[in-house]
Amino acid sequence: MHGRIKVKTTLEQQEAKRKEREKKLQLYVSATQAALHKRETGQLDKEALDLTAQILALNPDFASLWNLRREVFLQLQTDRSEEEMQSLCLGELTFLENCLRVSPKSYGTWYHRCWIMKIIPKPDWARELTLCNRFLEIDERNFHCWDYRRIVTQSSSVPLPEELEFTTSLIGKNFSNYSSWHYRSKLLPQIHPDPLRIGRVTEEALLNELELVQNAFFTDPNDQSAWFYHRWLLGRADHPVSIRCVMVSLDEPCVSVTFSHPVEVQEDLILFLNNRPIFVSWRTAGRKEKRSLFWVCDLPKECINDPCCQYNFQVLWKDGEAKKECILYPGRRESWFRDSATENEFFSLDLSEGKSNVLQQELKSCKDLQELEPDNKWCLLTIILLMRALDPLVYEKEALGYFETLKVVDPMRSGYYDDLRSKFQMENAILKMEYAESCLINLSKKGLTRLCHLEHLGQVTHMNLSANQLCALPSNLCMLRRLQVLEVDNNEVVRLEGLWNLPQLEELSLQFNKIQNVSDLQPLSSCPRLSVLHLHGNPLCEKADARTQLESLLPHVNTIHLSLI
Amino acid sequence: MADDLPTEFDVVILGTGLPESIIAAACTRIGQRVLHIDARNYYGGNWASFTFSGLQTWIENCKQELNTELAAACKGQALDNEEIIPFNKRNQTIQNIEVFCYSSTEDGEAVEEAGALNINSALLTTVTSSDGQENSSIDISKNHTSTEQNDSPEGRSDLEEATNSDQRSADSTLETGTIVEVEPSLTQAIQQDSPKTITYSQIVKEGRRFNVDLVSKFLYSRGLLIELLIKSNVSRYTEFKNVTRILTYHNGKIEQVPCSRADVFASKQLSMVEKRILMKFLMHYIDYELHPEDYQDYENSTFLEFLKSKQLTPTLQHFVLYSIAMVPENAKTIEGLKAMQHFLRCLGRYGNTPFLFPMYGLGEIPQCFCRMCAVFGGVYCLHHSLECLVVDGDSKLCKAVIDHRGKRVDCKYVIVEDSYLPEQICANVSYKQISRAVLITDCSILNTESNQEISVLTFPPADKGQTAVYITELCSSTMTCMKNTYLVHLTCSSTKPTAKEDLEPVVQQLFTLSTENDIEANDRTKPKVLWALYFNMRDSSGVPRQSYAGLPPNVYVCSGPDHCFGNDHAVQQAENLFHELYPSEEFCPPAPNPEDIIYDGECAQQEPSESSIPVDSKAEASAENETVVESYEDSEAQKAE
Amino acid sequence: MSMEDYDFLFKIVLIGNAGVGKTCLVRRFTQGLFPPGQGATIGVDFMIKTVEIKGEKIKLQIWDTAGQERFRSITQSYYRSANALILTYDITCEESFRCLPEWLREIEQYANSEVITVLVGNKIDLAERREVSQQRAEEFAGTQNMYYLETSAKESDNVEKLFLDLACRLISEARQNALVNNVDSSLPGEGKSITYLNCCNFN
Repeated sequence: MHGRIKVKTTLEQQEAKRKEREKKLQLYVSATQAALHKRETGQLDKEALDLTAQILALNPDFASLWNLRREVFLQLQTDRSEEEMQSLCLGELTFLENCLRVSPKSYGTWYHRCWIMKIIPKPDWARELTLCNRFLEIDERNFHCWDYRRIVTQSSSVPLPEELEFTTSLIGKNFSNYSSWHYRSKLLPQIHPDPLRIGRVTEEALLNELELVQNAFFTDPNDQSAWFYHRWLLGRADHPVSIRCVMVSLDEPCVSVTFSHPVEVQEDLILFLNNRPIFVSWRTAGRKEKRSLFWVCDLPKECINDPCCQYNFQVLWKDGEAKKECILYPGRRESWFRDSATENEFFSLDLSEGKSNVLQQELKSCKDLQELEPDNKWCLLTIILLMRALDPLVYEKEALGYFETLKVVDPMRSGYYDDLRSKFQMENAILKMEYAESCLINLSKKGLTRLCHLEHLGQVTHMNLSANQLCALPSNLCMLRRLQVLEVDNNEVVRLEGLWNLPQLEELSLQFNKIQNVSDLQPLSSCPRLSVLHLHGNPLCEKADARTQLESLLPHVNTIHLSLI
Repeated sequence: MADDLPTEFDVVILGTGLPESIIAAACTRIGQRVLHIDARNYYGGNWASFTFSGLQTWIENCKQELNTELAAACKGQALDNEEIIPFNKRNQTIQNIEVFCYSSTEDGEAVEEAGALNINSALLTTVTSSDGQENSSIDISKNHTSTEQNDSPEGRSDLEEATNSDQRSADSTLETGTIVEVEPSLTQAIQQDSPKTITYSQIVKEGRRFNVDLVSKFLYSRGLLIELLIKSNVSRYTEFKNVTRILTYHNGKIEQVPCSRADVFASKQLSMVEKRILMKFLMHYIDYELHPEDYQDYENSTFLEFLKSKQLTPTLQHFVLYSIAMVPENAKTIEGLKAMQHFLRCLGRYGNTPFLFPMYGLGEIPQCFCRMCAVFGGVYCLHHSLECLVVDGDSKLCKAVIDHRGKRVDCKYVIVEDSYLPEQICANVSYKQISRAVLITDCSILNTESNQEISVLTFPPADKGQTAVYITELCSSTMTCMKNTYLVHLTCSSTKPTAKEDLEPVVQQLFTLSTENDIEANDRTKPKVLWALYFNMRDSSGVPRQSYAGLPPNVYVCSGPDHCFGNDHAVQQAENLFHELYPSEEFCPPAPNPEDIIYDGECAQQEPSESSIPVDSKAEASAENETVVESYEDSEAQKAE
Repeated sequence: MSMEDYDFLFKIVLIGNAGVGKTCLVRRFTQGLFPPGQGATIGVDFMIKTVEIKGEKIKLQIWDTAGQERFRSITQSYYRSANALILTYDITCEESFRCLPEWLREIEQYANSEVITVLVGNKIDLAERREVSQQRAEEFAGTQNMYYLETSAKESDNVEKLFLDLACRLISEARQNALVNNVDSSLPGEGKSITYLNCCNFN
């Protein structure tokens, strides 16, 4: 074979590689042992740094060795000058950078970098920012780097518009990037804060963002990150915790408070009666939950002994973070004061006319896109959300049509869509009820799979939930303190835990449901006024001794309608 | 020195263009003895790249008439029963050269290229080389009748004045040299100040920053050339840059063609619905073979008609036809779909566009294959002409070649670039022509934040019967032009008598051709052309072998560059020729990784015994020289076994 | 990081007239032998030697001319990415010294402007036949800002020193660059050579 070169055969190469590996492994093992020995014996010196560096360069996820390095640095800190520490730390940063180039997604390495930046005498945050940006250019989804970058930007007080520009450039490179979109959603409310709505952005900024994100989902309608951002843009302001409703009833007697968000109440919710605090103990209407939208307390009888007086009730939460008053006029047995859903636009965006034009445009674009991509679930869902943002009632029927399409194209998530539709249906029904200034709410035949927004139904006396697909009556149904008549016929109700402690409930119709046992009706024993109960068409009716059992379980119920299916 | 040339080779290759260089590498890779010769003193033939002064020399040489008489020495070398076919020594492939200078040439006469060595003659008697192309002094503006001279003393600051007179020698190298290592982003920061007027003398002085390609091509990232570079390990010799954007000329202005997902997202020209239609169309037809039902009705129609039928808006039709498929308007549907598919499949392999450009110009690529050939023993002689082929009277096979010094080299095969073929052989050949223009401009045709864009621009045909003009714009980070300038190449198939007639209308639409400095104040919308070169290059790519009359069967012809944008033709040609010569051998197998090579006596650490070392120093020198020859003998011996 | 293959990688390119002993210098350094009567092995693109300096592994990729210098036909691309150039002449051959300006011109023309160039006068074992005095060569090297060293590949004089000094200088330059723009140097996926050009996706 003269004239032609000899090349190692595959076998020889493998053998050479194997030997190389073996050598490395031996080195690795002995270096590890030596390093750990140093730790045990407390020899926190530069040699320990060299040893761990060898191993960490190969295996940056060896957490205890990073710990060892930190121990060494802490030790060095005690007897080295600031200049010496500075140069040691700079050396460490260079070492870390080399490690990151090899494995840019090692948590330990980023964490250690962060730690070094905290102890380095003269940190250069600008350089760190450049480093982060370079790594994110390579992999914009490196969330370790994103995390570190957050710390860097905090420490280096980068102007926010520059940060926004940074996300723009990353999105320009690849818009399938949750991190960048998410970061935008955090930056924009700080750069262009809406003076009226906390956590939201000015209309002008919003318009720009809508255009940007529209570009993304027209380019690739299957990219979720853009749709998620779009939803954030259309989202409502994050309202602070407020008290939505205070209700006083002398029958029990009690005071109930409904919050906008579930809260945990201890001593920070104070009840004033005619400007004087009174000692009460708050409980949720349910039995277990710690946080709840709804809190109720018993009113000491001696407080309201004169029915001819006017009583001024006030609740104050967290030193005035939220409060609400409610006046009980002379001779009245009950009273409430609440925020109305229609006035406060709880269910739609409070839009200026200009912006609602934009949303109309947005809706039109999405409908265009839907025509091109009839099966795109994100697009369908966005159309529905836009319609709700614009006007829930005007688009009610059309939106329901899109729900049907959505369930067909995405059957996997039809349960989710049913729940969402239920939510929207209930919102619409609440709006209609409020516009009619009624205390009756008719939710029959809405295809409901779950109940929500019950905190808005505090004044309802009569609720019809018949002909839906409800399996259970949820525990927060007990917020309906004034509920007298409840119809839940033709559902799939099995459990009744929500029908607990409804002070005014007189008549309950549960015909054609799936209640199996008399014991399932146990919660009803806590409803003192319940006198009529319709149980026709439930499995329990088949049981021979059903009536006897019911009568002993619910002695106060006068009329129980019970017959075979 | 040429006397050292061995007298026998397996293959003699004349011409160092891309196909010849690939074949040369392929032949030595299978152990053949290759002599690779070029009459020019540079590599690449019509595939070459030149510094600015090198380009001037090339222009001069193209115009020169060469002595076409056969050297008398040849006659004596041929035997009685042998015939002689002389080679053509005049390069007729380049015609209609026209040069225009629009930049200030005020002090152009005195300027020399920077970096000319300042060598102390007291220490050393410098031997003036006659063939060093860069050595020739430059005095272009006066030499060409067509070069417009315009002395405009206005518009130059004192600062420039100072720079002009001071930075004459090596110290300027250091400063300008920093470009090499500076990242584009940094260069950008440095160059933020508005473009200064670049004078002709600056161009001359910075002349070696230029690497002007005679052919303007890019490498498709999944094209045959890239695959071959990777497969053969020739890729280790060069580095590439991504083309950063695809442009088109549409509705009277230059627009960026969105061709990747990120581009479509960022595009400002497309409506939302167009974005969706384009993405959907591209994603669907990237695998067009899977959906025959979607195009078979249009198989006999043009691609444009097909695009119309798919509800693409006029803008989208334009983008897809000219900039993505890059086919002419009359291309058939399948041709368009194939071209579009190739483009799309190339996207994203190395960047946001399908194209790569070699640092220092396309002329590097043939040289890389030559290096590979040399590493495997190929013998290289530039500036060495061959006089004739020696043909055996009986077999009509070529037996040898004779060089300009009358040296006869025996060989089994000859591969020759077609420009060397004599007229008698090419009498019946009809050639196409390529029209070329090279411009040096002062800013980009489409300015963005980055001034380091590498752009491809398709200029659609103005009239029926004309062809689209492909324009490439290179920035200084490609190492093909000096800082603050752009190198623009225009290429099309010729339809008019001269390149200038073909291309000047396009140049005029995109650029300002003016020597007036004050125009800058008014019209900065178009880049200013500082210097322009037009020429026609012969396109022999379509010539079938049969059209060459009287060529010995063991003489093979390589064509010059074709007009296409990619390099597939050259690679395919090289591979086909190689397989004609060596049907059973592998074409360019991977060169071994130097780390896997086992050397004789690798572990032997012993000193060679005193006696075995030739005391004579010349012996050592010749030992080195003889390597190549020895190994040939070895491989020859091996064959005999 | 000593378990990595190397800490630094440098490309060193040899140039100079044919017969001045370039290949012998490379083989002496990389293989510790003086090739008797034979030069470059066919098919060897470059040779590799990893040296250790102050605990750091430096991998030197040493490229030879592949014989292209014989007829003055070295490809430009040979110079392009070299970190260092070793320009060699033969102290017993005036002609090889006289050609140096031509080589320097090629370097100016084609090599990176930050390349480190070392001038080497080889074959000092043949001192009795010296044609170029050390002083003359040193002065010439001085005017061109080159380091100068005289070697004997045969006697192994100064060969190690040549490459090790070069490696040291390359390291310190690399360090300096690293300090200036470490952040800007390329990260994985940004390399320019084709094997390193990374993917970005259409889909």
